[in-house]
Amino acid sequence: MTSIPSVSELSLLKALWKDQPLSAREIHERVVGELDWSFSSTRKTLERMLEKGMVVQHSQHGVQVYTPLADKVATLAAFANDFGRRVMEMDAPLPVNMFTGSKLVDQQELAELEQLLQDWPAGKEPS
Amino acid sequence: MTDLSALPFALASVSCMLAAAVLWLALLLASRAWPVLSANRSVWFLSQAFIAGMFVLALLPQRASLSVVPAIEIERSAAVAQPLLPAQLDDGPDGESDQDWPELAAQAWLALYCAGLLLSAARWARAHRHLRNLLATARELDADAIAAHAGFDAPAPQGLRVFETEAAISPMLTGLVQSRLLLPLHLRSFAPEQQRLIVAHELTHWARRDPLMLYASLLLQTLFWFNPVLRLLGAKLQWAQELGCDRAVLAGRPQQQRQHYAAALVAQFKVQQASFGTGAGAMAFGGAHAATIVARVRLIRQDGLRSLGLAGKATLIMALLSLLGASALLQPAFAWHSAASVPANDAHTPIPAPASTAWADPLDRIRVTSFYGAPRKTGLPHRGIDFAAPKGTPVLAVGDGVVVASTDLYPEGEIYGKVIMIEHANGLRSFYAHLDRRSVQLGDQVKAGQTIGAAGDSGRATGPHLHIEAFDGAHRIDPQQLLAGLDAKATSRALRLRPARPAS
Repeated sequence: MTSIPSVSELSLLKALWKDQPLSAREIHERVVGELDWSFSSTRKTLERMLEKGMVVQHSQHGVQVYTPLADKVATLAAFANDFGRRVMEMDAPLPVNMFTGSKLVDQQELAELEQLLQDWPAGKEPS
Repeated sequence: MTDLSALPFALASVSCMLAAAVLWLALLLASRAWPVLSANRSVWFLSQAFIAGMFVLALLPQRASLSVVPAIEIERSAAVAQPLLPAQLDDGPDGESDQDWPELAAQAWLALYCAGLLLSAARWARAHRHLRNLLATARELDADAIAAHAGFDAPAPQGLRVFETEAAISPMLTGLVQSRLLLPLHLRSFAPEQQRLIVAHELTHWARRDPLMLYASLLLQTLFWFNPVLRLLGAKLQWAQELGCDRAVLAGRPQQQRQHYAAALVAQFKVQQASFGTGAGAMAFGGAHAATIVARVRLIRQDGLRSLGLAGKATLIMALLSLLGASALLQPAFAWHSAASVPANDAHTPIPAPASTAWADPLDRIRVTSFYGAPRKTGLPHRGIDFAAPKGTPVLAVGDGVVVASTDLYPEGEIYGKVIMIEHANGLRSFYAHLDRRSVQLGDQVKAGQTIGAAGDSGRATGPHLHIEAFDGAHRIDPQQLLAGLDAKATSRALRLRPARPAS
């Protein structure tokens, strides 16, 4: 997957991962609580996802239904990593309490930290 | 008092920058002397609140009277010596106010501030969007999943939702109204004890309401985006929150667990480094950042900084309070050095009014925009004195007397609008025109300083102001003969246009 989906596209994908295939109306019913928008917005988003190759469309008993193309685990992992990277690399102050603090470290700093662990006073097993 | 000038805002901005710079230096020295401060979140948060307070304090009127430091005087024309600037000041068609550089600069700053505020708000929104996206890809752990997670000894506290993500992020707590704990999936590969310690660290944030303080801090950073000290303090606050939680989690724990905890921290850094590389932030902060992390690990090892304790906290709060009081007193009061307060023009030395008949000021704040006798485009010289006054400003009787006219239809012409005339002792009469409202009736007795109406723009006026005329018997006279000290409170334009007066 080259294009990163928007949050709304992801909501639609999640609905399809749970249950598929679904018609546009069925998808809309599942996401309307979360996205709070009109049916035409859902249709529009589905069209865009078709173009991007995130879903495929086919006919079932005369109704157009959609199936997700993107694999759930891999897609979620890829997206999560992308979003995670953005969050961790943001230079703006973030409204989060992070265990490590909001700054990343480089190799040299890591080496220094590991040295500290090695020299731990009670000197049990270094991790 | 309605204040239409951008100047107070600009001055407050400068005040808050100065206060911030001084405070930052003081804090740097203090935390060198008492390293315990670096782990105290209140110090950093209260300092931010303090700087915001200085800004508000600087906006309050009459601040200068509090200050014990001599005013910093800035050379400035008398035009805006009183920061009272209605859009239109004069009733003549030539009525334009004098604009001078401080006011223009202040307005430019206000515009710049608004633009910067939008930009900061956009940055905030972007950060939020990224977080929301990250959460959207995360899986929420239900009660069973939490029970099965090695990091939790007990169910998650009521009101806290727990999520798990594939991203190699740091464990983090976010959300103001709805708190969410976001754990990386790789946490499960850590030793169970390490998982428990890290989750305990995050739950301590939650219990201490760290997110609340963080949001307040971010709000201040956004509002005062132009003040870099608030950002520095914000970073210190966030770090103090981490150190505080380290200490709370590790209190009374043996050295071996401390080492596990530090190892978990380093392992987390390692995962992040492998996944995201070196962030731009780390590069920018370089050695200083490394030093703080090393310092943190040392603190974990030492069982180092003990909590400040009640006495320490009390001392700290007292110190900040006295600092606030002191700086309210010591804050340099900016004052415009009014060019007209120095004898402005020898030709216009005011004629001292006879004490017995001297009039009181007709407005609380006096600013003369046109003197008696000033040339008008109509060809006739000005028949009174104009004072700048926003619509609705109370108009005060200049002396004791009887109302001899209070009407919307002045016989001498409707160009005067709503008018009041008061007859005083010695056959003197004062006349107030272009009023918005009249609050005395014909025959009323009035005292000097009593409100008789409100300034406005009735009749022929291009903007709200008060026009005053004076009569001695049947003759119109220069009201300045009876009103003292107007030269120092006049626009430079009014002074310039005043005709040379024959010595009396």
